[in-house]
Amino acid sequence: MEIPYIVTPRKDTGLTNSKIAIWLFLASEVMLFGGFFSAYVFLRIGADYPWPERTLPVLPGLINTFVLIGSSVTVVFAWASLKLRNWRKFQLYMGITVACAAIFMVLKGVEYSVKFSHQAVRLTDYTVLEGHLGYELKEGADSHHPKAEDYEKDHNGNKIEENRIRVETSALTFNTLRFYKPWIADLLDQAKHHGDAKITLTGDIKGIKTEGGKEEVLFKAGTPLSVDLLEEIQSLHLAARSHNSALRTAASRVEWDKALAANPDKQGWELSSEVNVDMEALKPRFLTEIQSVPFKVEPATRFIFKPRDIREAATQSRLRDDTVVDGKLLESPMVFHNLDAIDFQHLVMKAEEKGIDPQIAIQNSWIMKNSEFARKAWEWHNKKVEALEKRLIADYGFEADGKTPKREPTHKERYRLGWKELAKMAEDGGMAKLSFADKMKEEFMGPNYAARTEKTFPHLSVPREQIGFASKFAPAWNTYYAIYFTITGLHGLHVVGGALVLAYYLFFGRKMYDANPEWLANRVEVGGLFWHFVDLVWIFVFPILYLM
Amino acid sequence: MADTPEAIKKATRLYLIIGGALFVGTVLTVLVATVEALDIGRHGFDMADCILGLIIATVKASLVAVIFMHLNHEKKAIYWIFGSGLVFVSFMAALIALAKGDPQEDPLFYDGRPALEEKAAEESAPPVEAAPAEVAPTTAAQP
Repeated sequence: MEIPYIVTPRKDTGLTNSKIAIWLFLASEVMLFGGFFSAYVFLRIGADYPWPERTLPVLPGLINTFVLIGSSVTVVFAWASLKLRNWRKFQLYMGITVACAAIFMVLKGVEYSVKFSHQAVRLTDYTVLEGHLGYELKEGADSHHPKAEDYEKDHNGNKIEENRIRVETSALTFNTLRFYKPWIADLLDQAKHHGDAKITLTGDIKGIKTEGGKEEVLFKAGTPLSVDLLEEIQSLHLAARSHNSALRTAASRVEWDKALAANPDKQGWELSSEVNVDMEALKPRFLTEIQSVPFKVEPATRFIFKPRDIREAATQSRLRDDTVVDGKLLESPMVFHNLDAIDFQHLVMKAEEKGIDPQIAIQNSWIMKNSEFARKAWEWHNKKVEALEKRLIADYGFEADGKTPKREPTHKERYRLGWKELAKMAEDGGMAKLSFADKMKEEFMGPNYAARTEKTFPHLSVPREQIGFASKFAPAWNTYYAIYFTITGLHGLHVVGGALVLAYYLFFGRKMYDANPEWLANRVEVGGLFWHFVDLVWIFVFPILYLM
Repeated sequence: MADTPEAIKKATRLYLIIGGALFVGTVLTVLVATVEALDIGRHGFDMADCILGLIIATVKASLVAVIFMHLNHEKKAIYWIFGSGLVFVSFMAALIALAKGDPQEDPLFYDGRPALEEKAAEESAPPVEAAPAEVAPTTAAQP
């Protein structure tokens, strides 16, 4: 079948159909990205925490902007080369365009991966700490010089971060319907390895299995935990539940029929108060539903959970599958192998809301009371802020009233100690000197812990009860990162999609070029229009997300 | 549109110039955001920086749209299509104005308002017991 109007324009519009189509698509794309930018503004003006201003690495963003602008020029050159019937030059320019797309995605990938491995935690006093977590070592391993085989591994063979919840478990109660099978195996495994403990049924489970039957012992106390056992209980529970609800429904139907027969002139909804099912009469016919199954752990044993799987509390915790874990919460600190930022902005915001002096709130924070390093860093930082304050007054003077300085340090400059400040502090103290190459690498990959060592970025163990909220720098951390990943992720998908189309013309366009070069030129123009649009979106993304 | 070889050759020179302008614009965006001497308004990021940054970005985006995407000489249909997209976006962006009355902007929304209402109720005179009005039944009574 021949597609009409893809080389010659239609008479009424004066355009090829493909061009109309791409502009319709671009108009819808404008609305899509426009929606997300509006969402960004909404989130920012509605944020109840200090918005992370100018927080992303500028250099990779800047390079990516150059790369996209450059590729926009080369794609239009590629189109011009086709118009001039120069296949070689078309290949060259299109090749550069596709290579630019690849560079863009690599830089974006580096940016993302740095975020996904960078830990943030908001303490209960609203101090925010950032850094890298350490990894769990096997028991008895040398913690100062761990070898590769000293690290504990999870079932995927990955190292496990020092951020786990430990509970001295004496009892487990499973939800019959919601228990998660793989966790049962894991719990049994932990019980075996952490103390050779037995997990057994706490008491006899008694119940009625058949209608009108006698209550009997269904499962004996002391039966060991297994998936099969839980599944058997689950199937009994489900059978009982459907049996009982069928009884209730049948009884209810009988009552409704009676009520309707007695009141032929009334509507159903007028009768609902007259329909009463006698549950007591039904009870002897019910089967026993087993909602939950209690097990005891003997002897009480340390179980370890991932923070995301458990809602921990001092004596009773709950897993995500509704399993209740009875037992004392053991020390379960979050251990920063390298702490690279101390941020009081949120704490100060909360203090100011309550009318508390920010400096007093900071002095009373957990980190200032418990970390010598934080106190030293804060003292150093305050001197810097003071110097900045003085310099700004010297440079810009006061407002007309003679009291208010024209320029003052920002909230962020006052209350945030980022990794660059900590690095500066260590360098001022003559502790670490990095080569230019290492410093450039930091611009892309974030703080270099290996080169700067724990003298710059110290170890810190945060007790579990101090932790308010913890996350990697992922969409979950705050609404800024949520919208950042949404917009840049969507834009990245557009880059990939556009590059695929352009690469198709580059590698498979020769046949079309030989058959009808104008056809390929039109296609490249349409692909190019999309590519320019991707560039156009980035022109807004870069200043808004990276510089504002 | 540039269709003859001469016109296209001429146009490529323009593309290079525009590409250069975009590079310069990008450097400018970063400089006004990071160099203190070029910082307008208050110290650090503020509304003035936001507006300046968006103006530079809009100029850059317009250059891409007008020159690279050939909107400087396009057929009417395209202007209608793209224009209507922009209209919807500006409508959507205008909805942000509705956030003016959001709780975050109103310090009394969560805590203050009930107290204020109580106070207002105390201050106003005790309500006069209104005589129960004779309300005519709206539906005819069934026999």
